[in-house]
Amino acid sequence: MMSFAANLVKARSHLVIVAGLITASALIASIEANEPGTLALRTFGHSALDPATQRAAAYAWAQIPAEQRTPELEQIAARLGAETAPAPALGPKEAEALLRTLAVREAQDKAKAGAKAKVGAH
Amino acid sequence: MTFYFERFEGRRPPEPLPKSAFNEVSWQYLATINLILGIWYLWWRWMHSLNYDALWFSLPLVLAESLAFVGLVLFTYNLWSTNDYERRPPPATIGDCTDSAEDTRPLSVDIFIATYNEDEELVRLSIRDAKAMRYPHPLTLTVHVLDDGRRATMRAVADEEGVNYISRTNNVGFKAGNLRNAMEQTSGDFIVICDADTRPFPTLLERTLGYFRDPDVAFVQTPQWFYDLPEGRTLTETWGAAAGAPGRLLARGIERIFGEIRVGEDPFVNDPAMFYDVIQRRRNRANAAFCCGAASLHRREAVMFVALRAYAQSIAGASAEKRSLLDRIRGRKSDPAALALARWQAAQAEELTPYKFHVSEDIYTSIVLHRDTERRWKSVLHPEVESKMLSPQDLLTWTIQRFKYAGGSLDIFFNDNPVTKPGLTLPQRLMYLTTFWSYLGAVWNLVFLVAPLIYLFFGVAPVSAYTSDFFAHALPFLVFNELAFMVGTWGVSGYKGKVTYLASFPLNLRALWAVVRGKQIKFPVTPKERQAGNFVHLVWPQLALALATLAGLAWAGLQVALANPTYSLGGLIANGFWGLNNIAAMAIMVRAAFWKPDWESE
Repeated sequence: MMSFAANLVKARSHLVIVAGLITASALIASIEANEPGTLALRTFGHSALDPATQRAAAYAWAQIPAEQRTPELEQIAARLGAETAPAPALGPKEAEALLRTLAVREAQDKAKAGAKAKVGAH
Repeated sequence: MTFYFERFEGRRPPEPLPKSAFNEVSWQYLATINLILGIWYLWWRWMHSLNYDALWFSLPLVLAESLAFVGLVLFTYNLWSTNDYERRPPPATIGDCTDSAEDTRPLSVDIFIATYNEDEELVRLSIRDAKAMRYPHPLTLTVHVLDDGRRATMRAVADEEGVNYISRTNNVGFKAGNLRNAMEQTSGDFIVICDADTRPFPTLLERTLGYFRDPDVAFVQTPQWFYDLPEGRTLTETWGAAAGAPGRLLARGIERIFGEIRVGEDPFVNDPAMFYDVIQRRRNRANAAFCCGAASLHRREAVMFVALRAYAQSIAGASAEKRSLLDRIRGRKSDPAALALARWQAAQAEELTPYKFHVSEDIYTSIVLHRDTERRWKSVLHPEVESKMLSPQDLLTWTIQRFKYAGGSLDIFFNDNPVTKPGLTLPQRLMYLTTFWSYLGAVWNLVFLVAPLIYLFFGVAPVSAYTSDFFAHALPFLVFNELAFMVGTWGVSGYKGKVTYLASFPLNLRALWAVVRGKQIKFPVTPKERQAGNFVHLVWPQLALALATLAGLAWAGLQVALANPTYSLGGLIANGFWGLNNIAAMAIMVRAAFWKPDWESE
């Protein structure tokens, strides 16, 4: 009869897979907690946002005076990569980028809401 | 003459897994939670996670997951509990095995050793072991060599060993035909079926004939055990040889954490412990263990009984067709002369086939016996190994063997499906469906193998988002699945078997395609000697898939690094983990193609 330890060795593949699954999930959870991407920022050196949105965030951050920068706002700015991004002056290009980004976001939100409504109707 | 396996003569088979009530209850508890979580996960997948922007991808995947879940439910049912058949002492007379207790004649047993082109000296070893079987009561034991190769040299070996030699002028029905020919020329109460390399232990008869005290037991299957499986080398030995002291040190550290890791052990994943000691053994409770040919014992009466009934039924069916044809031609009804003529013609055309002429004659015969509603024949999986045999030593032989298994099973499923036809009990239907479903699984396995590639190369996700919501639903199910089957198969390592099943997708798909097109699955004899040559051509789909997944991982990693908004880090992690699992599965098959035994290089 085989010992518990010997059987455990035979079962190690299950344990390795479980460990792998938990690790992968922990990574995702960590990424989500910092949505949309402090971890990505740390890992890859830039925000998970597309460049146009990041510039908009950086502009917004730059407009907030130092005395009004609460810890929460600082956290949001870090999450968006606004702290590290150069703050642009709001020229016509930046304004256009901001407008277009917001339009894309709005369209995406609409599509998502439509899909959810469809599922709900079924 | 020396054989490569002589060095393994001293090996002893493993003991059957011990029955543990605690283990069984734990497994059932975990399995129940696992199935509930699975249903919850699938509900979420269908209702809340579909990517409506890519339904062409999202739907096939969720469908594949659902079909795989059906397989999981069936497999859980198969493994639910172990109810070994009651052991009984070896019978002294044939009366002990039938309803007529007054018959005091000693038992007579025929050992059939079926051969075609195997080395005569290999068969000699099997003959000698068969002759050496012991029994506590008087017994008429006759060993027969069934030579479909019609070789004078084989006959000479049989004569030298003092056993009966049986041959025939043709090879109709291949192994099943060979067995039928032998049955016509012998009369033992019980038949032991052996392949050319099956070497029974002395205990085979004394431990198994007792089951036949139940007059309804038709056959007993004993586990097949390959005593020549390559045992490989430990990781410490392998890395030590490759990288000296640093390699040895590192490997020792790894083995200290994970236990002994053997490199090159059982490269073709032939170890049948999972199949016999877990899957087949747990079918005893549903009277659904099926015959696998070699190392099985059959009650002649049972095999002949169902064969005669099938013969009579086919004559009746065929004669009815012919009679109706004659009636139409001659314009007369109920003509006795026409009836007699039709029966005679039908009897000429039909053949009595105790073992169905089919590539999977063993499982087919089991189904025929189980479906007999009048006698309700029983089958037994005896848990102890009672013989030893040789395993495929190269990928070509392995492929031929597995293709036969897959093609034969699928052929039964599509053309004479016992699950939908009358005869079987519900538990038996579920058990047989489990077998067939596992072969159909090649279709959804292909989806599972391709799915991560689509994300890695194109950034198209099958779920609406790889967020913690996805993992909150998937993780509990996946974790409990691993834990449940770890406990459910405690004592047997199932990882290699699981990934080989995944990696066998080209072979199983080919078998499925052949059956769907109505092509007959051939009966090639599985070679007993190692085939020389390169077998990379047999694994090109696995190799291509592994390389594509690797390339996809690199590509997607680059896209995430470049902040391509189509990709997400969550998606990369999920698909990366999935893809690596697929690569590990493919790697086992690819390595098997290059494997060479130690004795070949010595």
